[in-house]
Amino acid sequence: MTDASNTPPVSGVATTSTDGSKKSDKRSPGSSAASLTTVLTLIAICLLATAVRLFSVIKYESVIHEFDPYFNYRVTRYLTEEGFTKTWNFFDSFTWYPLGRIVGGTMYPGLIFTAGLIWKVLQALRSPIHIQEICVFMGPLFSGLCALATFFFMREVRGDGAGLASAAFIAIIPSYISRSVAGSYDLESIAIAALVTVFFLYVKTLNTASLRWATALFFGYLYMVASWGGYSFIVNLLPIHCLASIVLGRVSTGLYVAYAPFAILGALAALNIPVIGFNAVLMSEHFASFAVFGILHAAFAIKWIKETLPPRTYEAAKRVVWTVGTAVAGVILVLVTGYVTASPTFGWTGRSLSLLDPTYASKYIPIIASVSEHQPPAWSSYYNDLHLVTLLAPAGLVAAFTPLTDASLFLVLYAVTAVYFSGVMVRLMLVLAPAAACLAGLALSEALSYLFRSVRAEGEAVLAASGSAAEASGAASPGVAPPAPAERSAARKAARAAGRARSAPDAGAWMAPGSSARALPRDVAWVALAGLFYALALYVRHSVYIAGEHYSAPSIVLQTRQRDGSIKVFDDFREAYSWLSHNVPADAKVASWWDYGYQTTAMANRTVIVDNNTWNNTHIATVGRAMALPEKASSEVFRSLDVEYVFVVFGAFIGRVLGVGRGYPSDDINKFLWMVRIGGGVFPDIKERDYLNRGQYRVDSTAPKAMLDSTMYRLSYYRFAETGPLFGMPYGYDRVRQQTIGLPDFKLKHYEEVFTSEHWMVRVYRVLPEPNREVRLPNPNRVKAQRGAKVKPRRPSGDPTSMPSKTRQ
Amino acid sequence: MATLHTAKQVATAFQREYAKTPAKLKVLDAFSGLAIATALLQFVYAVLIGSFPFNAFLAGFFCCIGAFVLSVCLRMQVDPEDMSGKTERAFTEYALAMCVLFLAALNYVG
Amino acid sequence: MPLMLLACCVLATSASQSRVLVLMDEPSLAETHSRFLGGLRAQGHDLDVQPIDAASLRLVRWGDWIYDKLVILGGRKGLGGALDVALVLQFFDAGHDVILALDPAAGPELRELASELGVDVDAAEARVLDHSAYDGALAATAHDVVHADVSVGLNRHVFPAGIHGPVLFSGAGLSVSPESSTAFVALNAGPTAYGGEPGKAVTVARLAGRGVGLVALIQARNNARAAVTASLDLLSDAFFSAQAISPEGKSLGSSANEAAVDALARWALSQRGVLIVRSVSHRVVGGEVEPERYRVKDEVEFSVRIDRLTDGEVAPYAAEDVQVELTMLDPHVRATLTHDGAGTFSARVTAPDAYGVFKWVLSYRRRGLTGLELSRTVPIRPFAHDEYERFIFQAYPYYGSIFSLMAAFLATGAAFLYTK
Repeated sequence: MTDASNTPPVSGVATTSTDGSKKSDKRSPGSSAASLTTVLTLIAICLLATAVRLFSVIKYESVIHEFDPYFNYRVTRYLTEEGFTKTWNFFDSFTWYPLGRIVGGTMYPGLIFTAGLIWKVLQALRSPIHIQEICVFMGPLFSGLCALATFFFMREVRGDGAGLASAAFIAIIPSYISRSVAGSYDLESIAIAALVTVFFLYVKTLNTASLRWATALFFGYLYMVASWGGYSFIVNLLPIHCLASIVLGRVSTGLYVAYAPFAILGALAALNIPVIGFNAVLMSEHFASFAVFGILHAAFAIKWIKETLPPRTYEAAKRVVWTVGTAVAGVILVLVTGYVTASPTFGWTGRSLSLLDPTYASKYIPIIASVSEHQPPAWSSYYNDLHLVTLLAPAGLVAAFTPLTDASLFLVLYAVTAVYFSGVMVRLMLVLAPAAACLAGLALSEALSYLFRSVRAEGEAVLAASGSAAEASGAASPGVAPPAPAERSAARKAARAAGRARSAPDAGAWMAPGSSARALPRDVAWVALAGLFYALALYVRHSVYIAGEHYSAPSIVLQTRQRDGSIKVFDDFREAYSWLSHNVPADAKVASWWDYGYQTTAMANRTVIVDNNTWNNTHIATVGRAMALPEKASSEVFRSLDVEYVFVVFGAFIGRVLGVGRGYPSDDINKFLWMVRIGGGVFPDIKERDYLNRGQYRVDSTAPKAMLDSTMYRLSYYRFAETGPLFGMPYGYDRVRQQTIGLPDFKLKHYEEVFTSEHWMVRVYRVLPEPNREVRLPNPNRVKAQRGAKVKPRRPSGDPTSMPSKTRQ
Repeated sequence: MATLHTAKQVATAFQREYAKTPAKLKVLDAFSGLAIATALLQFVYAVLIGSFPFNAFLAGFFCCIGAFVLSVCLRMQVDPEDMSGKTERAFTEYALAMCVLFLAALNYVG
Repeated sequence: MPLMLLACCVLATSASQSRVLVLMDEPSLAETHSRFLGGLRAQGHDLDVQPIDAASLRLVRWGDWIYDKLVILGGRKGLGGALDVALVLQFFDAGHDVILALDPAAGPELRELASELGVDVDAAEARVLDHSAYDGALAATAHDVVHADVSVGLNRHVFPAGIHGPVLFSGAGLSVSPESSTAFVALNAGPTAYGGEPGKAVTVARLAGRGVGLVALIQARNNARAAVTASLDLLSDAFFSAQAISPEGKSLGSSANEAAVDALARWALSQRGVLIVRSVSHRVVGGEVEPERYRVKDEVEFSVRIDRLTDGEVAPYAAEDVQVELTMLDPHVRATLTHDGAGTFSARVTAPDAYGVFKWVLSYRRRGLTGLELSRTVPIRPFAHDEYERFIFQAYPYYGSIFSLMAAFLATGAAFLYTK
């Protein structure tokens, strides 16, 4: 039903965009009506991009989603309360107890300062809006801006039509929606907009060769660097493009003006962001930029000398330059190689290395591999996240080559690298999304204009003639603006394409890509158009459905359909956090697996041991080890960290409530193997194989002893079997694992259950303090109790025989 | 020996050709040369004395390289034949970019 | 000073008001142990003597403890009324002191109480025997009254100087786990003693020599104290007034039982060896007290006022071995506190060049003295972005380069615009 209410405006936009091309077809190029249509369409696209992301607020409520956004939100709140300088120097003693975290120096400040700035402006306008609302709506706001940036980027590449189509695609591409729905207050939500803006500015500088745009590029890049670690994608992509241009002989003033100042000013920009700092010149990620900077200068030096010197001397000069150049380059190469090989990771950060070598993380950094969004994507996720775009993008790739301009070369390179990266990590589908949308937009706009041309063609002959004419003109004078041939119908299209595309002097050429210049028969064209629109409608429907159903869940509140179709809401997380914030001493330390760290600090307002900023592997490993150790040892570990409360997330009880489904699969028992792995990576007393039964992860009676004794197992399944049998299944049947738990009945000695949420999703335990008395320590002089004196005060649980009941409570 | 000879030959040829460059561009070239020289000087200083305030070194070094690069950009845009308003506009942009560069460098230097 | 006086008064009154429940197997014990009970009264305790199995016994009423301390003599009979071992342990864990003098033949219930306190009592039939240090008068044949010496052992905080003569002991031995940090044997038997049944041959003696404990003292982590012995005779009027006779029949002077038992009882009922922390504070030198956080390398100061209670007298504590640590996971700084003679201990250190949530930790555990565990949390923050050193001499060329370039740029600009 949500689909129905939204589809009309969406398809309306889709048709407007094509209407736009049609209208601009009829009028003379650059006319005010055409540009007005473009502007209106663009506004509609931006509104659509924003509106489609509001499902989460409508269906749920205006809350911050997931994990990382909670940290951003907390810092933003701090910013609004304490001001800029204090935030810049924010030392957070609430996280990573007892290490603390220098928040100011370890975060990308772009998002937070942007939200803070918006809040400030609204305050100045006497608009008493709460900072949380701003944070919630940052994603939708910036995706509108992203659509704008995409339009301008594609306009530079190919013209208005491609720009509008791409903007329409990016506006509702599911992959991007997933990270920018209202409430998803995450770095990526603004970073994608910044990314596309940087690309636009780069291409713009390429096309205009103007320092004005180069300066704008600096600011765009500065914002990007301040916003997201993904800036390293840019700092490698631009050199690749520059290098490709040099190799392809496309050296131009534009290239120099775009690239050289970027390399230097961009490095300065990165240096100015504390979280990157010296890394901007010391890590291998950034070396490509400087290397290409050198190569570019060499290329220009040769070119310049060639222009300045008479040809004969030039030959001689070339020899000299080559000799000197090779020597210098050799020395630099040796130095850099020496520097790079001195570091075990060859100067790359672990995260980058796991991109270059996809098996690296799983081999060496379990903490990176443990995050689900760092896994390689399944094929289905390409379909799910990109849908129609997956089909259109390859066509767009072909279209980008006809003709190949500096800008479209850039688009091609961007797409190719993004495809590779998205294949390594699900998370980087996000980088692929704009590339794919641009290519798809390109393909769509080409296809549409070709089909409409066919439909409105008076006759095949005319079209063929005009096609060949255009082809001829394109081939003959690629550097000149398209000529005005007699065949008006074709010329109009060529002119329209060139009209707004100031960038592409040879834009006329694309109208005549070889054989496809021949128009289709009218009915075939109609059928093709109908098919295309049907596909577009499917895409819109799919995107809206995905936006509404899949990506709007805030993950902190869960919703499931029950057997009878009614909706059941699980608000256990907030229940538990709220319990913590009201019942636990304000200075208590709360331990949990790192996934919940940000939420705990933000919502429960308590100090945590580890959180989602996984900067200290050892500390996380300590918590992982504590979860893996038996009760006594783990309570000692927790006490040594001053931890008073521990909570675990448990999903098996939900199956009982619902009677359907498998419960909540991303609970701590399912994450436990990662805890063991990460803990074992640092502390050799934890061995993964001890927790596996011949390589299998079991919780039933075949589970090994270490597993059954582990604190995680005990805290998760404590009293679980007492909840009774489940739909014919035995006591203690775990629907998530589809096993009957192996140790149903036990008591806790060093922990005390203090809170369990309504559906048992969050179970909070208190770590009991060290016992006041020392009882039953090993004593070689102890005399065994005599006949009749069966004194066994601390008997193991479940043994009802041995003691006078009077002494038990 | 032969290389040295050719190098000499090239140098003279270059001098001859370069003399034709307008004075405006020569000024710009001088500035570029100064920037590069300053950058090299700083590099040598850092190698000899040690790069302790690394941020200051980077700021100084990148500032010089940046100034050089921007000047080269301007030089490319300036058409030796036509020194009209277009050049002045290019220069305005250049000045703007330089200001941004200096700001960024000063922000980072200390 | 007034504060201290006030504190003394409060302590004195609380001591005089302390209600002690005394439980006895037989009412007759009140007569045979009248001097022990009199001694407790003289220490300022208000005794409520009850039979151990009285049906009306209770320790708690409406959720409040109605006694401050508990003394149990006997143990042949089980606890009566609302009492059981678990309740007594709760009483103890709530910070109340307990003296447990077991009849050597006590039943399992109170033996369990002893073992829950961390003391293992020898078997019911066993007695401490010593064939070379028995009392010639009281145990000429059975050898089950032995002489012990308080001057052996490191118990200077328990036994005051000046207790002379042997302590007569008749009862079962005890032992304490060597790993124990809360319990220790305050009085042990001579080197030739062992635990066994009188008149029976012993093949293996679990308890032998100095390992035979006679009186064990316990100070739990919450500083509640207890004394455990498996002898009623030790506290009896008879032993208090007895003359010690060597096995050879020589007189060794009057027994030291009264003085030793008095010292043990005072210690066990928190009358001596008690340290009182009056005030803890820390600050950046010259800054406000208890700041929200330090900055790395700040000069910081920690101070604490410690008094000591000895037999009702509060006096400033003096020691050279009190240390404080600035800890984050591991101690980063450790300093010995100096004291000014008036009970104020302080140390001045430089905060470590590491940021994090640090704790001042003062952990002072000495046998026979109240254990002190103080901690104060204070995060240490790194330099703010504007607190680093600026205008470093070595960097002047870099500053110069930028400014010279700016000047050159202005000159070039002028030249560029105004040359043809």
